[in-house]
Amino acid sequence: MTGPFLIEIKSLRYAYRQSGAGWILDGIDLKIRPDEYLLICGASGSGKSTLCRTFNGLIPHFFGGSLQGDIRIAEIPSTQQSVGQLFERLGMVFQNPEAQLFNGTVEREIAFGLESIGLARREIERRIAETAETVGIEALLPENPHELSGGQQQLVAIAAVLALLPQTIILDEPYANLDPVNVRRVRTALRRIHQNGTGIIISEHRLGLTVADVERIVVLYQGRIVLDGSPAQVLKQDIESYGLEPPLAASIGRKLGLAPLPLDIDGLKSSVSLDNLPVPPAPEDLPTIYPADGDRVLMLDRVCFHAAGKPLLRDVGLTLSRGECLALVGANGAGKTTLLKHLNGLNRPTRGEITVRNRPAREMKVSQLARYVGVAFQNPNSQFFKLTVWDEIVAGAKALQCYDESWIRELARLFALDPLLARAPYRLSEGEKKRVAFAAALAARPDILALDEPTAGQDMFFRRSLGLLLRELQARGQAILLITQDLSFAEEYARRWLLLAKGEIIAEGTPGRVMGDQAAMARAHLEPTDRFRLYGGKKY
Amino acid sequence: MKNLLDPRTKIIIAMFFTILVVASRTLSWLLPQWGVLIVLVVAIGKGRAYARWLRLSLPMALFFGAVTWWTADWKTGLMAALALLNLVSVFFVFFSTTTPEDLGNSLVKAGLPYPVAFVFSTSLQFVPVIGRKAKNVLDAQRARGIPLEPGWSALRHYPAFLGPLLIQAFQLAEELAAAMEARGFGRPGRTFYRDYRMGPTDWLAVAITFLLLTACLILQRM
Amino acid sequence: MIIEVQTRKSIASDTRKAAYAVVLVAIGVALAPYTSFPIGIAKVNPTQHFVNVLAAVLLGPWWAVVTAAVIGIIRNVLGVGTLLAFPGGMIGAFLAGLFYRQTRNVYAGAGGEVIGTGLIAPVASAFFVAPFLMGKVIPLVALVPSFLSSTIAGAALGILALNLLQRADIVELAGRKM
Ligand SMILES: Nc1ncnc2c1ncn2[C@@H]1O[C@H](COP(=O)(O)OP(=O)(O)OP(=O)(O)O)[C@@H](O)[C@H]1O
Ligand SMILES: Nc1ncnc2c1ncn2[C@@H]1O[C@H](COP(=O)(O)OP(=O)(O)OP(=O)(O)O)[C@@H](O)[C@H]1O
Ligand SMILES: [Mg+2]
Ligand SMILES: [Mg+2]
Repeated sequence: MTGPFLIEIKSLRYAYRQSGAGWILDGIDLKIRPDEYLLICGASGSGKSTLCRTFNGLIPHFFGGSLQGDIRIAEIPSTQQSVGQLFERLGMVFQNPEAQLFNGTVEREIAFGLESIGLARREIERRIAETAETVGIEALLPENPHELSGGQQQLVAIAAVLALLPQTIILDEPYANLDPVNVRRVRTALRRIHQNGTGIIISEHRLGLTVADVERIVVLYQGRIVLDGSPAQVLKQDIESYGLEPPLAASIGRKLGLAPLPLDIDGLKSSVSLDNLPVPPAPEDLPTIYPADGDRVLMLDRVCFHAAGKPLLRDVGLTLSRGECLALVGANGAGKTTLLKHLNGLNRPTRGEITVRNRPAREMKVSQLARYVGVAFQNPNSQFFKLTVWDEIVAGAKALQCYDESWIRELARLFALDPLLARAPYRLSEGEKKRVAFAAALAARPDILALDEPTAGQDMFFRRSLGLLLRELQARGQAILLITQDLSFAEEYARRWLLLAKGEIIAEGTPGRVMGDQAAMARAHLEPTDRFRLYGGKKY
Repeated sequence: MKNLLDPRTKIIIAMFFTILVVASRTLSWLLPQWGVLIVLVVAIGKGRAYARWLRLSLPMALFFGAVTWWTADWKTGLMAALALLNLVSVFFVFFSTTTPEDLGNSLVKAGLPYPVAFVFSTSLQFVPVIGRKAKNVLDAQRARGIPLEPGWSALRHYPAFLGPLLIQAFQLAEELAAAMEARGFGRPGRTFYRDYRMGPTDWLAVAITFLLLTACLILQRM
Repeated sequence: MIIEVQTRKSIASDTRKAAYAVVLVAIGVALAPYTSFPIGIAKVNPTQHFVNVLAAVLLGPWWAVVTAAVIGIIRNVLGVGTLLAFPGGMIGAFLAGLFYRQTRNVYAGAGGEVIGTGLIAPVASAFFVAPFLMGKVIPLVALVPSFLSSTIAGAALGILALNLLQRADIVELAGRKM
């Protein structure tokens, strides 16, 4: 006899067909009730997405591969039910909104699944209206989903599966690439959906965004379930060794032995007085740079940029010196990437002046600027075309005719790429790909290194090692421009921040000073980090 | 306006117009046809879009006319250019009043396999997606000194462009396929949210245009 | 109960084929501005042929025809394609798919595209399209060199791309001979 479980998995092992890596899921036992709010977390590559795919039959029906063990959905083995039968019970929201929204309007997007199960027209109409209201996207129904913001797209994707009235919906990293405002909208919608009686399974490795909402946490590590329990139970354990970063409140609470364990800053503040808090670990001392003019490698003076009739940048000014790490922070669509493209001439300012190494950038071609400004864009997949990592790293330097083998060896050591040099770049994990792209950006020994959202979608292991690397580069005199909306990373590794909102720089200074400017933060649609909320601006 | 007629009715009317264009041999017939098309375009409020679109299509028609002129004579050339312009204008009017989805779905009712209709109605959505990816690849490669400006020099560096783009495009296809599967694409018994039915207005429109077509054809032969 | 399943993933299912066709069409339309390059005074745009070869080899002749037809329609709607290239693309795609299916050899597939679009299509246009549009059969054979050079470039790119995708382990061509 089984209880009222929706998903029952017994000693499951699974391997994708191509990967020589052996079992990706290696002995999973898991039972999930239909109305749970469950978080699946784990470091990158631990198998979160893979596990989610077994819930709705995509594994094994769509992905193939080899599978051992037993998966039962509503008491029927999933091997005996096709994805087309399961999707009514278990809706799945994928990580990439671009690929999962494929209809011309939001209305049709929601209708698609309802058409698949053969509902009558009236019923489809009714369900569309109902779901749009629950999720709060009535106004978007006639819009084209591909033209919406990231957060709106996630909401549409959720609505598209929710309309089928599934017992549970599965979301694979729904918050990746979303700024805090959008995260809040999606979170609120999910909470409401759960209150209405629908179960939610969410995969995510940034715990701070979810632990306050969920009832149960499952921690995956190398394809196995290592922890399973309520948030308080799980966060009491040492989860850092599994590559997860506990929310600040929980880790302090754990050190102080608080019970119940506070899950967010408000909870911590209400259970302990501020004076009793331990002193935060001081951010490691960074060399404070007082730039002499000769050290200044980049200067933007009142740069404006218009495209498609819209002003995208307005009077942006900044300077960057050798050995400095400057963070440019801003929400989705603030214009960060647009600004970045000005540094190497991919965009040319409509007005204003850019000076690179005391020469006007205006006079230099993109290929010349590439010598001085190394850029790693957000998506490393946009640049891999060589068969080995080594060739990939040197491709740019060779094209620029400044190939220096000993420097590349040095880079490989610095980025811990030695074991990967002979592998195909597009076969690496996303984190490894990023490291290759960073090394490639430095291959021509540029004075300035610019990184666009380097930590997006990355786990704690990656963030820590990237942080150390940035420090090392900085100590060698590298000027670094860090473009990010990951404020807790920027807070730790950049001493100076620029806050960008709607193409304008609205605050500048130490992280504490910028986050302390509440009006500016609100205008920029950003939220201060946990650390700032706890300790205020004092510690910067 | 958009939903006044069933997409199939519009196809039939467009076909009638095409026959008329193809059967017309003189400028005195082709020019008024173009006039009618322009009036239609303005009536549906697409005048601006049409003007923009003409800028792209006109050179093509002229080129085509020039080739014909070169192999035959200038009169044939001019007519060929105008005929082509009329034909593609029919296309334009048709597609600015019919969404690909409506067209695809109504054709399914007429016997087109659903996956084909799906490709037809969905592809347009992904053109900008691929366009963005292409732009990102160009930017990423140029940013590290690999020249990819259009032209012969780019040809040597083609793998640097096509490689990343295709790999990403095929990953996109995989993700799209998984998403379609998870929303019941392959499941039999699909219904359609929008109802496609040929009503009295449709038949009336078909009948009237048919009569007009016959009249024009007879007039022409006289 | 312990069960063991071993399945192969292939592009065989309709869902996958439709998704690949969607993306190939998008490539065919979106890439045109990036892939045209001048030969002499004419501009050649091999994208359509390149996509034809990919679709023919990966999806088979029928889906290749669908892909070519949809590309043709969309390009005409957007005002960036010619009606003349429309039937040509479909003939080429079908032949390429047929040749590949018979031989399992990508070069044969590419050859089918070259013969179909480069040689048969202009002749077909001359006999079927031209009389309607121009009032008489005219020797569109004049178009052959321009058609031919662009298909050859496109087919070569197609082979290059297939090699690349196979090396990247993105596609798998069963029983394929090079
Ligand atoms: N479609 C696939 N084909 C082959 N191997 C895959 C596929 N998807 C994932 N893998 C491999 O399976 C392993 C687990 O990947 P999975 O995507 O489940 O991890 P994850 O926990 O979701 O990580 P992330 O946080 O990076 O999304 C990885 O080594 C990955 O390379
Ligand atoms: N060439 C362009 N033409 C028209 N609009 C553009 C162009 N480039 C960017 N934009 C618009 O400018 C805005 C800012 O884009 P940008 O990519 O710089 O944002 P971002 O700060 O990098 O955001 P994200 O965090 O989402 O990456 C967006 O709304 C984008 O649509
Ligand atoms: Mg994942
Ligand atoms: Mg950006």
